[in-house]
Amino acid sequence: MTREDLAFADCVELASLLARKAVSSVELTQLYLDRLQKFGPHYGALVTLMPERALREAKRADRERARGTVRSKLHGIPYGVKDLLATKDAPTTWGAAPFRNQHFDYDATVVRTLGNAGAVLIAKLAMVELAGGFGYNDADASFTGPGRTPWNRNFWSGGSSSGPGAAVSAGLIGFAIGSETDGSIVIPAASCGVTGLRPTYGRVSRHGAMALSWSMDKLGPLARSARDTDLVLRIIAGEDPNDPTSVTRPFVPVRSRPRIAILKDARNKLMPAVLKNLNRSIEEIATFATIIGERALPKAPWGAVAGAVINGEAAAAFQDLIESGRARELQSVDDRVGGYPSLALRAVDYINGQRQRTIMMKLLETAFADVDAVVWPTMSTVALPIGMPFDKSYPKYPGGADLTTPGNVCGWPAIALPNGFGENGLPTSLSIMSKPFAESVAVDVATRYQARTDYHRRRPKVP
Amino acid sequence: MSSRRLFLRTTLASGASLLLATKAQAQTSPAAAPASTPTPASKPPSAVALAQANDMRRYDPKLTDADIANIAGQIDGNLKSGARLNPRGKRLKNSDEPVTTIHPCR
Repeated sequence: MTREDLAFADCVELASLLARKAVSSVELTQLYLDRLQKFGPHYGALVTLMPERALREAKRADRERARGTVRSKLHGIPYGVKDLLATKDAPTTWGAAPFRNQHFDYDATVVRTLGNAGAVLIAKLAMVELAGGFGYNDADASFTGPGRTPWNRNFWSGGSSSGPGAAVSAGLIGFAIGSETDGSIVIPAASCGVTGLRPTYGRVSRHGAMALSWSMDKLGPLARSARDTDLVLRIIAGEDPNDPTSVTRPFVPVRSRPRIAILKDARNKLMPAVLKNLNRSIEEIATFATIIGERALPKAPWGAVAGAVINGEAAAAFQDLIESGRARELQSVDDRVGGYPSLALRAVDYINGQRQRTIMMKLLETAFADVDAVVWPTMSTVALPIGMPFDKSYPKYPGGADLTTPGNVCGWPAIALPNGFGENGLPTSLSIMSKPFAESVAVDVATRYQARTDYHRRRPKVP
Repeated sequence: MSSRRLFLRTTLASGASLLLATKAQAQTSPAAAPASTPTPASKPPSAVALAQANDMRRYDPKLTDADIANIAGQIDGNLKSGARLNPRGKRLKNSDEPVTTIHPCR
């Protein structure tokens, strides 16, 4: 196995290599540290490398393994986190210039949990400033510069978990933790050709994560396979006294032949490669699942609710920044003024948004009562070009119905996985949403799909 | 109205899609979601929104007139979007409760 093969192995393979002592955690950690340092800046993926902590944790992992102690399947595997997770040993910048020297004296619960499982934290990864909370409209919206997809550096890595998406895609890290409020795991996963899992709201503790929207933020893994996302999720899931919304729930058993619906109107106005790859994916899924036809997204003001809730909570979360006038230091010109309108949001509109969510949760439950999961294309296009406003990028392909915002508003889980390639050599992506706390169903469908295809194993040419 | 058109209409009316020209944009939406729908260029911001926007100068005196117009447009957009949540106060009933997480004791 070459060093390149090692760098692109998934966590399940890395765990096996570590178990067979074919590689040590220190060797693996040094490999990823070197690759991150060398290639991370090419993709705008890196904020802070953490060599001292990483090698300390890797040595401990190797020592423990030599004594016969293996904490979990992630024991000794290097990973990175989106730079909105608090860590003791490095600044936590939230991707934003006003916070570039911010330090916390504790680790986020997810970081602590992964450390207890033997995983090795090696880097803080780039992100869109404030996770996109102020309404950016182009890729240049982070103090570390635009994130670039390793498949074609002229195109954006997606946001706001830009660094996690690019670092996993380019084999710079074993896996990464990202966050999603309304698309921030699945869009970078799609843009970078990796697998991203947005867990059910409450499945994973948010303690130590930057708040954008307390009632919509979720943390989840980006990895090189669906089975990896499952591995990571099962370790980071569970109730945390520091996050009152977190819960411990069992992972539901999966059916041998799950019932899958296709989202109605999701095939409209897609880039041709996206449509072709979606249709081919559905054919593949039909070999192991029952496709029960189309199900429609219930009519409701999904976008208005997401807007009111995120605007209201973001204005409160960042009130100090907005009122200090330091939003002017943000990278994106839209972000420099985007917080002010939210300060003027009416309380009644925020509360009505939350009232609508109660109704929407019932609507979604009813609409998909007879299915185990729903599929649709994660994006209507391939990755967006850098240097062009998003709304001018692909006006011909606005896409059809999608479940990303409804899923986030209602807190349902979804997985995004690569399902082919399109224009400019860029990946396309399939999304699978399952019911609350039924991540295992979406993961199972994705894993079976990946057992039959090799898109998740394709590698971008790393410079 | 097809659900697609309805979806577009709802998202365009909301913060989710100031930037919505592509579906990807809407989905990237921690970026997109908090942004507000600006008042179309042809329609000037309302006087109330302009007054509120001007008030933001106490936080950043360097806000330009163009910034103020932009902020005011987004404030109007938020109001329009908010109106969709409970048109004329009729869609939501008195008993419709918000999503909350309150634990009086743990």
